[in-house]
Amino acid sequence: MKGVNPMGQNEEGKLEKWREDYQDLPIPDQDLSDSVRKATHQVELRQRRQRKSLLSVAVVAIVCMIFVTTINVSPTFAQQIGKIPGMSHLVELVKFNKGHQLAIEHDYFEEINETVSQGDVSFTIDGVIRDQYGMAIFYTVELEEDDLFRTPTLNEAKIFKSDQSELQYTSYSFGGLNESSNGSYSGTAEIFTDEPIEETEFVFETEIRDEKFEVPFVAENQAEPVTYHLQESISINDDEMIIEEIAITPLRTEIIIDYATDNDWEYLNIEDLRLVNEHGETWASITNGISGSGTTDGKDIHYLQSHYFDEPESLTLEFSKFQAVPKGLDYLELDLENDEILHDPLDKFSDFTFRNGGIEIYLDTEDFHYYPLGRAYDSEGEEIDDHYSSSMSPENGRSRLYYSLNAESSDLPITVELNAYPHWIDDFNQVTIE
Amino acid sequence: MWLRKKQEDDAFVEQIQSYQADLYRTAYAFLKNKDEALDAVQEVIYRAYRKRKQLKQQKYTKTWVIRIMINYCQDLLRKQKRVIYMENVDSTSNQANIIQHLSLEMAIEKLSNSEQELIFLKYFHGLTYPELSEYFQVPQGTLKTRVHTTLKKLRYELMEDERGESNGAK
Repeated sequence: MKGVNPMGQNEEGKLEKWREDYQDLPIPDQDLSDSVRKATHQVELRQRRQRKSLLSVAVVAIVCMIFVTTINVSPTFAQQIGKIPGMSHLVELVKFNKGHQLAIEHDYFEEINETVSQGDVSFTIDGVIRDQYGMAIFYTVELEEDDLFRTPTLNEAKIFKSDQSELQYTSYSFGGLNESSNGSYSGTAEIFTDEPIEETEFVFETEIRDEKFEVPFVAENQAEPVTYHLQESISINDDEMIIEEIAITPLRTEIIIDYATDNDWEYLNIEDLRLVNEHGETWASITNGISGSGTTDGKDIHYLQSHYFDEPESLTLEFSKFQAVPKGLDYLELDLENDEILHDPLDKFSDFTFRNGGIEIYLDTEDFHYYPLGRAYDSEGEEIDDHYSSSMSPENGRSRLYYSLNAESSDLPITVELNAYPHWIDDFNQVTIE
Repeated sequence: MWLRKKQEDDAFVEQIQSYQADLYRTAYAFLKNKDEALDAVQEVIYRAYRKRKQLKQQKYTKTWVIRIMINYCQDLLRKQKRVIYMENVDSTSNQANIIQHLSLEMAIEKLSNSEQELIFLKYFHGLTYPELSEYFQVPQGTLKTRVHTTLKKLRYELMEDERGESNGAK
């Protein structure tokens, strides 16, 4: 090889020559076209798979409540967290989550402390709380101080099993990153699956600022779920619902409810669903975030917090406040061209406008913490799936909702599913579980 | 609706396709091997497609997809920690010219990932300071300082290299 380095040139000159020589690199056009074709084929396969998996979950209800509670961290919790070195920032992360606190108190927090660094960013998995159907992963992102860019965000977080296949989850959520000290940010990701997770070795993969991080970790499930098969029928006026099953794991409580097909009302949410212990105290209630989802066979799954480690002597399921609309009318029909609401089951919405690729609409109350708008469909019944952001904010006694939608006014009327609605039926019910 | 989305997706693929030679050159500069560079192009187009919603504006597509390529190659090299095998080089071809740049490339390899990225965008792909500044949302002055520091590091590495082979060329 002729290792001749043209001397006397500055670095910029060398880099310029470097670029020029690469411009003349022979390009294997035919092979490149093949690579592109293979990539697009992969994309098509993926899209087909995604369509399939989207169909399996019918409705997702999202609650956002602002809890104005003082933070009571129990002495046991403080003591436990003191045992894990460098974990004091966890207090901040779990202060609103009694279930996580209880798990840590009962030594059910698996310390991982595994760090991967890439350039100016390091990513650490501090620890994991896992059960048969889910994991709460606590992590920290640290940045070098002379950093050029902005506050970090995690993109595309995935979990791989030891056979390198991706863990298929049904719900995934992550809290934002909290800056716990200068240049150090902490957060929690929670994932849930509908099949039991058998593996114990995982790789957490995420992207921060276009750098990929792969962090291996081991987490074992040492807590068996507690399941109650109930099949308890409840009547609400002339309607019937069946409490089928309750399953409690360290991370959450799942309640499966089925509804009679000839009901007059469609029950969208049960706002005060809770489990009460022998002292009449609430043992578990609805949390922020995903509070329910539907199954393909029309049942609803409601999610409550879990106080798995706080074993009660008795448990009673109590509920009284149902969000309901007349059956079959749980949708909005909107005319995008004339900004008109064509259908709204009980006339709670008003002032609808469509502009800039999004819809804006008002709800007649500001005291509603569920996000009402679900999936949108065009006049042909085809889902408009380019929806990427929604917001809801109080404004002079009403709530202003925004929902981005990649539709055009010529799309004729569109329909939007209602996942929540401010109309209630009150009917107190109790089901004794044990 | 569905049809229009499909058309948009096709347009995206077509746009990326028009950068296939740039992507290939970038991959080759890192991997030094035709087959691996071709695989990298395939993987990067796939990744770009999946992440296309993260792309803020169409005018940034080229820079954006090249950055994905740079990151992909850096990642691959880090994982493999490998010896690069040069292909059989036909000395009459331009590949011979590229070999001249080995010491420069070895020096670039010693830079941090973000410094490498800057060198590739600025010099290999000829992005200007205003373009970089707009893309990264960082003042030009900051970028100039950063480039300057990086070039100094590069000079130091190249000098180290020449000292190492004191009886070398010239």
